Order: sequence, then C-alpha cells, then structure tokens
Amino acid sequence: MRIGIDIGGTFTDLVLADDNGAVVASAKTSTDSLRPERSVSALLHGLQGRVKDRVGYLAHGTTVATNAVLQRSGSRVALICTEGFRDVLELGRLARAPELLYQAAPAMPPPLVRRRDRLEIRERIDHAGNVVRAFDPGAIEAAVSVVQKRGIKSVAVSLLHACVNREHELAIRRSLASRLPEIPVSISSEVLPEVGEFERTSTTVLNAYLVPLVSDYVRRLEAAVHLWNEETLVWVMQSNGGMTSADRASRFPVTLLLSGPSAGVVGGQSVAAELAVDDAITLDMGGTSCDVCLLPGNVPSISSDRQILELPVRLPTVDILTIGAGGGSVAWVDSGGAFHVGPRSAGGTPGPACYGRGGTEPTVTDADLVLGVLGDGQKLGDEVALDAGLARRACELVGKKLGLDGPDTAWGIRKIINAAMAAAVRAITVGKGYDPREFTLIAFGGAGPMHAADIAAELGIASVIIPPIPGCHSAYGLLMSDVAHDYVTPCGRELTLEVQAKLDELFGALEANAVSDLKAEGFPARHRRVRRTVDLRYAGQQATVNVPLPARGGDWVGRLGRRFHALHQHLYGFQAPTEPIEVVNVRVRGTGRINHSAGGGVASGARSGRAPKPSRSRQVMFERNEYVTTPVFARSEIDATTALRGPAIVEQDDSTLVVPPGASLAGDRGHLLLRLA
Amino acid sequence: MSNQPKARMDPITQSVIHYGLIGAVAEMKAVVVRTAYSNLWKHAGDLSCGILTPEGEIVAQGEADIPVHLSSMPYSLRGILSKIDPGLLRPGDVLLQNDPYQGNNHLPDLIMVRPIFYKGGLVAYAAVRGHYVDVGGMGPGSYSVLTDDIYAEGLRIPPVRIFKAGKLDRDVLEMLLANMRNPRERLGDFHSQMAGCLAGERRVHAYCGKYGPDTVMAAMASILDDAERRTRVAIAGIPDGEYRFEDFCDGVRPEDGPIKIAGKVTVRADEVEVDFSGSSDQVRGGMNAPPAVTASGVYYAIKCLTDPGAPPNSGCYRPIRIHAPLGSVVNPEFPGPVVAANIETSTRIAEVVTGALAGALPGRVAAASSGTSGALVLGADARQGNGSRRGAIMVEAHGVGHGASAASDGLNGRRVGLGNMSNTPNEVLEATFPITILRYELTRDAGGPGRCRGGTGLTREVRFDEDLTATVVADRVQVAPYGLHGGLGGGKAQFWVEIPGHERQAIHSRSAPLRLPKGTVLHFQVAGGGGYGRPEDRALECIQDDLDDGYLSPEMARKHYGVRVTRDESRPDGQWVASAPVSADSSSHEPSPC
Repeated sequence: MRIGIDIGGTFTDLVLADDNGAVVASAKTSTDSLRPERSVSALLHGLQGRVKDRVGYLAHGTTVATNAVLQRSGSRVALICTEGFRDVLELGRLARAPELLYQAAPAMPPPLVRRRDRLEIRERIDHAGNVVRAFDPGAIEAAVSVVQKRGIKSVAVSLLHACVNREHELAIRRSLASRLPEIPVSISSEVLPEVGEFERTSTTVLNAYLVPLVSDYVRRLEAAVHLWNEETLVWVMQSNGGMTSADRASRFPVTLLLSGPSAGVVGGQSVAAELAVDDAITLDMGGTSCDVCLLPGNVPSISSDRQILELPVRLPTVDILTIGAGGGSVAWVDSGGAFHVGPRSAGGTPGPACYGRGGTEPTVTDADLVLGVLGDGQKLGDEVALDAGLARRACELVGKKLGLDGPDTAWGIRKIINAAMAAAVRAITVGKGYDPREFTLIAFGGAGPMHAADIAAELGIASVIIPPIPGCHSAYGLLMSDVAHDYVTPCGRELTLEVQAKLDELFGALEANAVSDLKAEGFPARHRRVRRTVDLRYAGQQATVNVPLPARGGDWVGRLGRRFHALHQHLYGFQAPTEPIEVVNVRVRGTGRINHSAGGGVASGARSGRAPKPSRSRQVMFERNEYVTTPVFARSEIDATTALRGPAIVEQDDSTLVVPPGASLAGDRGHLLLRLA
Repeated sequence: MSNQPKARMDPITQSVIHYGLIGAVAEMKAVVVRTAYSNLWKHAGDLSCGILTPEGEIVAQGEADIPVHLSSMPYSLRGILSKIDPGLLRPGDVLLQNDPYQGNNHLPDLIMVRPIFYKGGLVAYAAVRGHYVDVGGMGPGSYSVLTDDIYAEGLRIPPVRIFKAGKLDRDVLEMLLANMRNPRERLGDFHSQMAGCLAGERRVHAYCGKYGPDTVMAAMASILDDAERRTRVAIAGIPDGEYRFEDFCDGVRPEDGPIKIAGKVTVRADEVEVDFSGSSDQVRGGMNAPPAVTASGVYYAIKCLTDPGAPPNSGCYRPIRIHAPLGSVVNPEFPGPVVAANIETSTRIAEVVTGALAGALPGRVAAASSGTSGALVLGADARQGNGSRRGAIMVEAHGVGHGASAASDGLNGRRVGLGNMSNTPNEVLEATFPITILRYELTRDAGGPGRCRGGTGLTREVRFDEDLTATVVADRVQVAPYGLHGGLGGGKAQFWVEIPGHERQAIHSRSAPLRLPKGTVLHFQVAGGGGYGRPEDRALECIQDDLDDGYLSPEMARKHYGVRVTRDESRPDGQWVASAPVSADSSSHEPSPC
C-alpha cells in the first residue's frame, strides 16, 4: 500500500491507497507548525486497522522550505564570490518592485546573506570559460576561519561565469570539504548552471539557506515514519511535479518551494488522464490563496521564472500562478470609493466574521454564507459553526460605503473574487496563447468547488470536474507522481546540421547523470525514462522556448526548427523563419516510474438517470437580487447512475459544490462532472 | 469635477474591467520583452506599456514600468493627435513619434500607439514606449548631453502613421532605420513593440465583446474619477500653504555653474500648484526638461506623497497645476537639447517638490537620493572587432543610494525616481561586448550620515578590451544630495579614466562621446543618498553593523558619528569596535532603526 501526506499551513492531510492507486482512506488533522512530523505521526497511528498490507512508499508534500524563506528562519550562510562582486545578491537587478515604485521612503528586508558574510575570493574566469586568474587554494583559509568563528552552518559558492567553467567552484568545494567536513556546501554550477549572476547566486543562496533546516526536518520525519513502520521509504515532492528521494531533498531543498501545490496539479493531471480529458486547468482554492495551473495536452506547464520574497528561483517549476483569493479574503472600499476584495486574508484568527471569533470585516466565506452557497449553522471541520447573521452584518457595514445592501454587497464580493480568479486563469491561458474554452476545469481545495462554476462560466469553459476528496486532493496527487530530476547545461550554438554532434555530446553527459541518480534511488532500467528537450530562441532574443527533441533520423534538425517556429507563432503571434535559431540550453528530465496504475475509483456503471434525494433545501442567490429555493444533496447521493440538474448544492465533509441553474451533474468513477448550460 | 460621486457605474463591473486592463498591460510588456532583440529591452526592460482612453488619459499602466515613460504618454499622444486628425484614424493604423517639441519626453523613447476600434468606434489606445538603443546623432547610444541643439541629439520623428489600415509604410521605416546605428537590432525591437500593441488590442477587444464598448469606456472614465477622488482626499490632508524649496543639477560642463530648480508648491484645499519661476534659464546642453518631463517629475512626487499604494493613472494628476516659464530649464524653447532631462532633471524636479513638502508632512519625506540614472553608454568600433560585437552599443543604468527617512536607512544600489530599468547581467555584458568588468559593488562611506543613514550607490570599474567610445550621464559631482532634519549630505559621485601610460583623469558627470583606447579602465561611482536626523543620534549598534558590513570605515565613523573606534582581532564579526565617546551626549530620543 501507499501513503500520501501533504502538510499545509493549517491542515495536514493523509490519503491511503492500495497498490493500484485506489483510495482506501483519507484523514485530516491540524498542522503542528513547530514539529510538523508530529502531525504525520498522529495521522499514521490513527490509521490502525485500515492498513491491510505492507506500506513501502510514503510520498510527502511539505511547506517547510517555503515557510522558512517567508519567515526568514533558515540558517546563517556564508557566500563565497568573485572578488569585486560580493554585492550582486544585494543589488539584484537594480529595478524596484512594483510595490516600492511610488513610495516616498521605500524600505526592503535585508539580504538573505549579510554583507560581512559575503566573502570574496581572488579568481577570474572569462565568459568563454578561460581561466584568467588562477584560484589559489590558500585563499580559502580566510573563509574557513570566518565560517568557524561565526558559527556559520552552511556555505554557498557562486563565482562569475561558473556556469561556463565550474573548475574553481569544484576546487573550493573540495577544500572546504577537507577543512570543514560537517558544513554543507551549495555550488552555483550544480544548483543552477545558467548564465546571469544574480539569478544563479540567488537560487544557490536559497538552497544553502535551507539545507540545514530541511535536512534536519527530513531526518526527523524519516525517524517518525520508521517508528511507525520500518519498511516505509519516504519520498518528497518537488516544485517540478516529480518526487525525489529524502536524501536528494535534503541536499537540494530549493527544489521543494512549491512541493505542496505541485502535488495538487499532479493529482489533477491524474484525474484528467483517468477521465480522458486532453486539456485541463487546475484550480486549488483554499483559505488564503488560489493556485491555478495550465495542463495543455494534460502535461503541467513548467516555468523557470519564479520568485520568492523578490528572490528569483530559476529552476524548472510547475507553473502555478498564485493569487491572494481565498475564503478568508477581505472585502474593502478605498478612499476613492472603489470596491476591492483581497489580497489580505482574515486567516484563521479572527477569520471570517461568520466564525464568531471577533472578525468584523466581510470575507468571501461570509459572502458565500449570505448568498446561501453555504448554510447557516453549517460546520466547517469539527470546530466552527457558521453564523449567517454575523456574515450579513459584516457585509452591510461595507455595503453602506457603496450604497449597496447586505445581499448585494455579498453578491459583489463573490463577483469580484471570481473575476480575480478568472483573470488568473485568463493570464495562464489567453495570456499564453491558449483558448480557455477548449479546457476542462478541475476544481479542488476547500473553496474551489464553491466558485468553480462561476469561473468556468466567466471564461466560457463548458465542463468542471470535482475529484472525490477535494479537501485532501494534494495528498492524493502525491500518490500519482513519479520521481523526476531535471538537468541542464548551456549550449550557445546556432541550430544547424553541424550542431548535431555537439548536442549528442551534451545530452550524453546529462543522461549519464540522470541514469546514475535514478539507479542510486533504486530504479531498474525498465522503470527509468529520459526525456530530451532544448531551449531555443531567435538569435538575439532573450526568452527561450522549450522544445522536445524530435525522433532521430532524416532532417530532424529541420523538424526541430519548424516545431520552434510554430510554437513561437503560437506563443507570441509571429515567427521569423529566415532568422537564425540559437540552441541556448540542453535539458534532460530523468523519470523513475513508481508502479502505479491509473484508475482510482469505481468503474462507471450504467446510467439509469435515477434522481438523487435531497436532504433539505435553502435559499441561494444565483442571479443578482434573486434568491431561489435550492435542494441540498449529500455527495454520497451522486454517482454514475444519477442525473441531476441545477440549481443544486452538493455537500461533503470537506467541501461544498455549487450547481448553477441549468447545469447538469453526474458522477463518473468517483469524480463529479459538472456541465454548464 | 465635484467630490460627490455622480451616477456611478456598477462598481463590480468597474473592478473587473480595471483588473483586466492592468493584466492587459502586463501581457503587453511580457510579449515585448520576450521577443525583443536589444539587451536594453530584453534584459534591462527599458520600455513601458499603457492603455489610454479616447480622450488621451492613461488609465492602466505596467506595474513596475518606468514612471517617466508613462505619465508622459498623454502628452505624446496629444502631440500626435494635434498633427493627425483623430477623426481620420482607421482600424489597423499604428502611430509613432519621438519629438519632445510635440509632446514627447526625449528622442530615444519612441512611442508607438495603436488606436483600438471596436465595431467601427474608437474605444481606447494601446501604447508601448521603448528606449531605442540608438537614434543617430553625435555618438553611439545618442545620449550625450554636450550638444547645442536637438538636431545633434539624433533623428526627430514627427507624428507619423507607420501602419495605415494595417499596411506598413516601408518607405518611412527604411528612412528611420537608415538613421539608427545597428538597424537590424532596431528593427527587431520595432517588431516586438508592435507585437506588444497588438496584445493590448486583443485584450481590450475581448472586454468590449463581453461587456460592450460603452461599458468599457464608462468603466475607464470611472476608474480615473475614483483615482482623482482618492488623490484629492489625500491632498486635502496636507495643510494649506506655500512651500518653497530649491536644489541643483550639475552644470552641463564642469566650468558651468550648477543648474537651479526652484519650486514653489501651493496647497489649497484639494489642489496643488507647482510654480518653477526662479529656476535656471534653459542651458546649452541636454538637461532641459520639456513639458512632458517636467510634469512627470511633479506627478511622480505628488503620487508618492498622496496615494502610493493604488495603481497610478491620469486621474491622480488632475488636481495638479504646473507653471513652468518658457525658456527655462523646465520648459525650453525650440531647439534646446533635452536628452538627459528625462531621468536626471525630472528626478531633481520630483525631489524639489517632496523637499518643499518635507515640513508640511513630517516624517513622510525622505532625504535626497543620488537622483540619477547613472547612465554609462559604450560603443564598439563599427569597423573593428569580431562578429556580433562589431559596432555593438551598451546602455547601462546604475543603482544609486536612496535618501534616508524617519523610519529607515536609504536603500542601497537601487533605481530611484522616474527611472526603473534593470541592469543587464555582468555575465551577459562581458559575453556580448568587448569589456571586462573589474568591480561591481557598493561604495563605502557614500551614505549620508544621520540618525538614519543614506543609502550607498554602485561603483563599477570596467576595462576596455577594444577601443571604445564612452558617454557618461550622471549627476551629483558638484552638489551633494541633501540631508534632512540634521542629516548630512550623501557622498558625491566620482568618475575617472586611467588610460594606459597616462595619469588618472577625472571626468565630469556628463561627458561628450569620448574615444578611449583598449586597456582603458573607467571608474563609475554614483553618489550616496542624504542622511535623516542628526548623526550623533544614530544607535551604536547600527554604527557597529555598518562597520562590520563595510558600509562605513572606522575613519568616517569617528569623523561623522563621533564614536570611538578600536581594533579587536578576536571579534567574530569584524575587527572594529565602536563605542560611545567619553562625554556621551544621551539626548537621543527617537530610536534609530537598522
């Protein structure tokens, strides 16, 4: 059997599945934010009789890396850099962030490595990789003594042009290893061998910042799991949507920054595959934020252009767009009289007004309650019973400033937050040359199913899928992921017939790394896969387009070029077939297959069109100022044999689904399929 | 307009369209940056995108785009429409201009405007303003201040319809490219600018299709009205009165006296008027600010002090009046040169306005920054050198020290004022241009001493690996950035060259295009920001941190902060120890934040 455990900011979720990936049990508990492994222990021990078979595999999604950066609780790092360039990290790319641009007295948090801990080394490599000034191993002594004196726990090394020639970085790592064997060393030519000193340094420093904390956490987690079951191996979800061994996660924690959200996307991918959906969009809406991701051809989009706290992380990452839209997003009116919702969230305390914990500002959850999407007195989790009176009063308070009554204000809140999420989906579809109407929306997270239909309607999306346990969907996704490692090396040649030999050489070296890493993680040849891509651009451009390598033989260079022209046309609206094409980077992704077969739920039965039985009804507003008596169903009532037409509300433990008037709802292999009119 | 909301449009639809338009300009920028050819656009992002109303007001602009590019867009568009009858515009037209005497900011910034029609009616304009690396003129990069008139600054493009009903006017384009260095790169940037305009048009079309063009236009009008209302509320919070301030830019030549910017800011109820009478006469050199640039400096300052959080648009600028005497450095007569006023003079104009209001808004105004883009323009020989580096042009801006404020030390090495382009990575510069960068680091002791310390700026040293032409445009060699409330001024800027076999030679903050031989080392050091509050009130631990981090030398710690500094080799974080002077005056009452 297998277990997926996703630790989020508020809850830790567990899903237990059999070896075919079919869900056997799920569970939820509050996250112990100081000792998250204790939440894991509690859930594991709570499984008791549910585990019938050996559990060899535990997949884990974690926010430990993200939180450490956001709370700046990582380790003191020494950064070794080229003489004359120690301020690269502090200077960034010079431009001010949007929120600072019109500030009369802007302030920024201090850099992750203080200036005193940025240590210069006399050495120089030029842009072509020639050693201009040799590195003197004796020069490392000063750095060693600083690290010892100051009790520094982790070292980052980022030298100018190290992506072209890593000789000096390797030499520094060797001498540090012999002098300070207990100190982990992150080198830029290994963490991110790409041109651009600030982004490479920033990514490397983030890695070094996280290594002590994350490796310690992974050790504690493994110990907790092994106390429960010695046979269970721990794997960790990376930002790229693939799993990695606990050991690699400890050495490259910067790859874990989107560990949890990626799992949700992979879960969505697996749902789409099961239901034979080609092009999907995942929408994960929780209490404070909403994550959206595009899966054209049912493959998650990948981006290397991401930031945390204004620090770029240039690693392949599932291209999730996060916006501050969640159940707790607060509605407000500015001094000019314009109406806004979010991005600030009321969080868990005081939380939405309807929680009755002292919150007075209306949130999205309050609006949903006033509109009847949620029911008065309905329980969220085991703790809170929602109070519609408090929600209405909060809406009226803000409504006064707008000349709107309580329900109309609630209507506006819902409309605006849905528009913000629709705009996010539009940014990842229309903004990248895709038509959202050709996609299916997969909605999960506690609040996703409440808002999915409106967002779909706004974008002209016809179908929405709700997975079986929307509130634990990321934990489910963890069980659907393979192991994946990414490797990159710069190429910098024009795409011509002659470049073929060079490409073979570069791919050969990367593939050897991929194979040896996967072997070390125990994957036999039949479970290993290697995928080759290249980053191409018109010579002279900046941004690259990642293009999969076509099969060999014939004029494959020509075919590669044509693929690139077509993609460029698709993404940017024009192509330049006579311009030379540059091969910027060569990339390899090594995949180790975890032996799961698709198909988690119950096979679809015959549709008898049975009408499900509502458990009660309530007043729900679907059109402005019009409450409609709407039946409420338990989710267990809906399966493949039922047919249901909106308006309706479908409730389950961890989520509530809105079925608007005219839409139809059916069950399919454990999922719900909503078709809009 | 009155303060009472008139028949408002539905606030829900308005917000939806507002966020949509902001998304549209972000998409425009992404398209341009991703498809551009020059380092200046694809790495440094020296371009900005906006959506304007049919009346020519800017309603949505790129969030981190360049302030002077944006608030000047209405001026540039007005210039176009006074030449080209808006009634004759047709779908598929694209307009272009760069003439500061017809509303533009300076010659290198070409504005491209796409009128957006929906079902035959004009609903908006999509505009992309991009800094062309070269527009001809006396030196590579078209950026020297040492000119007598605008003709020497490069090619002046009056408003033209570069596309007529979707058809490119190749003759005009050929003529433009024939007057620009590296025409192939310029053409690549031109195409990407066009792609950006089209992206904006697609998005506005989508909203018109969904809500109808009338609703989209009503929403834009209402967005502007709301911004105006917010700004008026904030201005009303400033005590009425007349506030005066003056500051200086370096003279065009070392022997010229500094250029004076004198501002009188009058606050009356919810309106502001800025009068620049008493400023220097226009100068012989490209420091004269045309109306679009002067206004942008004033708008920027008022926006910062009234409503910094909300998205900027023309509504924020409606309560502002400007009086700039014709023939002065803030409103030159034709054909006065203007190129560097764009970021240099404009930022000084902004700091004169904020400086004037420092007393009226206690604690809200920072000391002066280094107030410059710190532009370094290098040109490789068009006939020697190898491959793509032949005739290549590099344009770099430098991060400066920000002024300290009541609450915090000034930022180190960031862009300031009305400019916000990034750097190009040093690794990319070395790979695409024949130079070796020897140092790229923050300057020690440049931050103005104070209870809060001024920020420090960049020092860069570059060795030329071929003969190159260098142009410097910076500031604050002659007059240091001012401190506030007892804080001292920032360290002045310094520029010099060492030519092999010659003595070190200082250069002024503005140079002619200088031909310098291979092996030359050029030193480029911008000024530090001014301090805030008395240096003797700075907390000892902040001084200690500055010593440990090397922002401050032991000598300057003694001199400016009056502390004792002794040496202790055994301290883990640094060898210098600051301690209170023997007769410590403990009159400090405000905590020093560091």
